[in-house]
Amino acid sequence: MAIPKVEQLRVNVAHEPNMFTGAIPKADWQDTFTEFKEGNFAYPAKPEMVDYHGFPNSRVWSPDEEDWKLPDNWETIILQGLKDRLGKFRSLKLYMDICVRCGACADKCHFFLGTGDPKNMPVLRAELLRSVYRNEFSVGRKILGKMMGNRPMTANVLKEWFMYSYQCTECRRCSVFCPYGIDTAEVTMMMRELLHLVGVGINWILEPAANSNRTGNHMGLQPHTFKENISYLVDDIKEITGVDVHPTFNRKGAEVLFITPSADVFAEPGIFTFMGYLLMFEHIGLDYTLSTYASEGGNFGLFTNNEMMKKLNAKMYAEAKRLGVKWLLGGECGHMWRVLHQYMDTMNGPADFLEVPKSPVTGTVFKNAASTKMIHISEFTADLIKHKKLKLDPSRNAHRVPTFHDSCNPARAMGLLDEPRYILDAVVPTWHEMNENTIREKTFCCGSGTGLNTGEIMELRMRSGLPRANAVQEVNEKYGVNCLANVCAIDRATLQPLMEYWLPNTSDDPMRTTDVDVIGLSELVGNALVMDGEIENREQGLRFEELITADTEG
Amino acid sequence: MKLQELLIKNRDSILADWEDIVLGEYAPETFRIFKKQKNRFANPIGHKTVTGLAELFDVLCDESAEEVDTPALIEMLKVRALQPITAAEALSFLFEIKILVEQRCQKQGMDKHYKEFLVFCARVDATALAMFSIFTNCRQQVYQVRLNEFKTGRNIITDNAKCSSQVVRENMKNDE
Repeated sequence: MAIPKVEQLRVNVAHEPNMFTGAIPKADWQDTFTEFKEGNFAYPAKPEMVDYHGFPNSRVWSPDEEDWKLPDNWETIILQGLKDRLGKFRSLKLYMDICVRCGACADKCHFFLGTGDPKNMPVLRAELLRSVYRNEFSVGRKILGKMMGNRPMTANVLKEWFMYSYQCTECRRCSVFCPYGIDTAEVTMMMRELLHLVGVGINWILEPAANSNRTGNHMGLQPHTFKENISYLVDDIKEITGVDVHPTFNRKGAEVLFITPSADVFAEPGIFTFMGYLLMFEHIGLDYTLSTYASEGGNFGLFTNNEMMKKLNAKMYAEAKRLGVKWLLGGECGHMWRVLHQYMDTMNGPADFLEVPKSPVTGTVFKNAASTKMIHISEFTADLIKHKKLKLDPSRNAHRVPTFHDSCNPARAMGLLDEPRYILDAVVPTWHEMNENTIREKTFCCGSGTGLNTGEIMELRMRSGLPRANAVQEVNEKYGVNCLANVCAIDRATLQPLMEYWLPNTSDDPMRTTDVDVIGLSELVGNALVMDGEIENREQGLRFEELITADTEG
Repeated sequence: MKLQELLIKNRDSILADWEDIVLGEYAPETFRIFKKQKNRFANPIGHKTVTGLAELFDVLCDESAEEVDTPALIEMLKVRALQPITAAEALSFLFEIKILVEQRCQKQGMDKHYKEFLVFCARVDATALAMFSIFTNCRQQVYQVRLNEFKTGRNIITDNAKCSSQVVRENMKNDE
């Protein structure tokens, strides 16, 4: 970063208090251009990733260079792509036409609230596309022209699309407040789709998508690695609880196929959540299997284009059919549940070879999943608790004082609001809600969803996560909340650094990095379960952390 | 009237102007929202800025106050440490207080309290040094967060990961 000159600083301080030039524009939004600097964009996709997916115009390029090496006829490609999509998706046409710019969404976006950049107001972000749409396709475009904010498709416009469609996590908080029900996330999705047509995409989406296409999961884990990682978790469970758990893999004829994000198998703190699943399945004797092929719940196709989403999701039903299971159980994931709940049925269904999910333990039939045949682990667990089928000792979580972060997609895209809370009531002695403006349907995103969970934009993620962290800070101060429970793998990966910045460790323990640990709900369940044959007076939690027992308390 | 009295008497008006200057660094559309919305959850930057400035002002006014790093000011600087601006831009707002106070002194015809004003300015300058330390701590925290990603292995799910089997193959190749 350039060191400012003394005289310039003196003049600025004395006469021009406004030195905030950076990326924040002062002129009219149409007259400001996007400035790309290291740290404010996610790295573009490597050519081999673009080629792998069969996407056009693979090349080495960088957003901070003037020339993006677009194909010669890129304007035509984009406009034709937009025309095709307007014809195909009635929702897009509707969203382009009906916005009255009332501004109800303007201050609801975590990216806007954390960056202060007006182009992150959902209304303005969508306007980036709408202005081109009106210029090309709307009635009366010739008469009103620029007066209406219409503008031609230019390279600067394209660059803005890239900047701001990748500063939206498609969390849909804005759409909760839209009186017309415009789903701005779908506008972002369309902008991203159009950008892919000219070879503009980010690596951290296309590479996991490629891995998922090849091995079944984002991590690129091959079957033996997937199985081996789980066997380590089985060993840890044995050491901590003294109990043997018995997951099976690719077992034909199992009643249930369990699918969860691969991050739960591979990285902290998701692995502890996975240990929770394993313990609970063992506890109730569930006849389930894992698949080394359908080894990923997440779907980065959702962040790429609709065809990719469909393709990557198809493995769930394909594997269910191959293994002959009766129904599907899904783990704690965020966007996975938007895909499953809102798109899977029409994309990959009908799943008429499956049965409507029925809990083998309680007999509850999950009619809400009558069509998709797939239910969420929290629905399943809450039902078990309701029927008193789990032997739980909440005092084992006495060292945890959680608050619950509603992950955007389970909350807003499938309405999973009360089940996690019902579970928390049963598995921890006490927990506290965050401010009502920041939970349930109005929950604030972690700031790193939709493939933005990448390291090179860490500061941007800290900004966009501010509204969420700000609410956690309050309950930490007020109630001593020391853990942030959630039901999403991306949350587990990205809320941790967010907490480390906004709520750094203030304890004497040098091993801790934050005052608020991020934790999957099923880890709390697993930790509270009293298992048959477990070691007496268990002393450790699933992270090998010391539990509060009568001894340690005394 | 002594300078100290003037500062106490004009606290609200000075703070209101100071808030306008700091929040005015954002675009006009943003300024309107950040200034108007008082709910801390609906407007975290606005809230952290307003509370941070208030604490800072009180530290500047109270000569017995030794600590500059009050909780709300740290939060305000944490916000600024993440913005895409230079350190100079992030901290220059502090010096605006000299101008705001000077304006009020002139209005009151307080020229004879020039020495008191100089003492106040010296206090602002000293505070600037302390704030620079707070700011660099915040920046270090960002780097620490990045470092933690690698130390805990979380980078494999947040940093353009390689296929794990590829890593295994590469390791085997290196071993050969």
